[in-house]
Amino acid sequence: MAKSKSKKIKASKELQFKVGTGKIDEKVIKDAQKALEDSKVDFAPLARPDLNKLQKAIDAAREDFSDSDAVMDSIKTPIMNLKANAGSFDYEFVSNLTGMILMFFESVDKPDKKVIQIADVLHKTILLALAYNMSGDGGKNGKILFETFEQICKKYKPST
Amino acid sequence: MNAPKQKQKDPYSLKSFRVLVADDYPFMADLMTSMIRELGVEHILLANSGAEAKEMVMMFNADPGSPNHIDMVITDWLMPGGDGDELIRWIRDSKKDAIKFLPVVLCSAYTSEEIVTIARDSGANEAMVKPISAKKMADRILHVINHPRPFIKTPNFFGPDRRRRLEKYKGEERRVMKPDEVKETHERL
Repeated sequence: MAKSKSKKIKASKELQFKVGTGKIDEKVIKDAQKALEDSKVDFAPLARPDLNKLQKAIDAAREDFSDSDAVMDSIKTPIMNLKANAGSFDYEFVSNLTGMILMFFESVDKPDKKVIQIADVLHKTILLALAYNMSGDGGKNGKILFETFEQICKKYKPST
Repeated sequence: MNAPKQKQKDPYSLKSFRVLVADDYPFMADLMTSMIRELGVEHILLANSGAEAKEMVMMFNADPGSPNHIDMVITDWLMPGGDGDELIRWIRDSKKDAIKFLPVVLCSAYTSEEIVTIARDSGANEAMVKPISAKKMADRILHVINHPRPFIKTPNFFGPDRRRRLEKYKGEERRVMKPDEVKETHERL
């Protein structure tokens, strides 16, 4: 019989011996979450570099979108960062919106003018959300904007 | 039966736990640090790139006898100077046991399915989708401690076993997870 080329190494319990096992008290987790929510970091200046990168990616894509993977990567990367940071700094609306758009971009095989336009409108929407301090879920306007983007993405048909 | 060499401490004393956080966003790194500290971890190291994280891992874990080993790395995926998955591959390729078996949690803003696949294939122990929360962070840290996985070595892969253990079906009870639990699992990611 041929000898297997894979080897299984037993799980180490070293960390359990060092710190114990079990659960962390719910209160400790709540306090940690509070520390996160109480952080007084302003998201707007943090978002600026990614918004600039997104703007550059959109401008470049308008000139030439023949290299589909490169175009989509350059657009998606700053949006990913915005999604991550917005959620961590109490801009749930921006985080949800960018998350939804990322999922839409995942379904795009080849970028076309409409896709680039959606990225551009998203960029402008985030700029406005920051200008108007649309933190949290963005309230009524946030809901309307989210649903509008959702409809746009649902109606999208690739250019032939 | 062999008795454990070391006696287990009281449940969860994360004071002596040493975590390295690798993230190129200083604000995000600070945020993660303060959250992990609130969870009880007193030793937190910061690296702002993959390259810096490698240096720190070498510094603290290269000597097998050192009492100051890093116990876990929490790394961002996209970073200048070496991405998170490159860092994980470097860790898993190390010849030193204190480095190659180091638990790693990969964080990313990317959609769940893709990050889980990348994390699994590069040898991460756990994946975490941003935005982070205290519960997500605690879940990941505790999961790595409570459920250590065996490591698999093949010609093309070295890392934690990518196949999670499945419970056997009992009688007519075909559904192992209830729909709410499936949803919960996805949300956990």
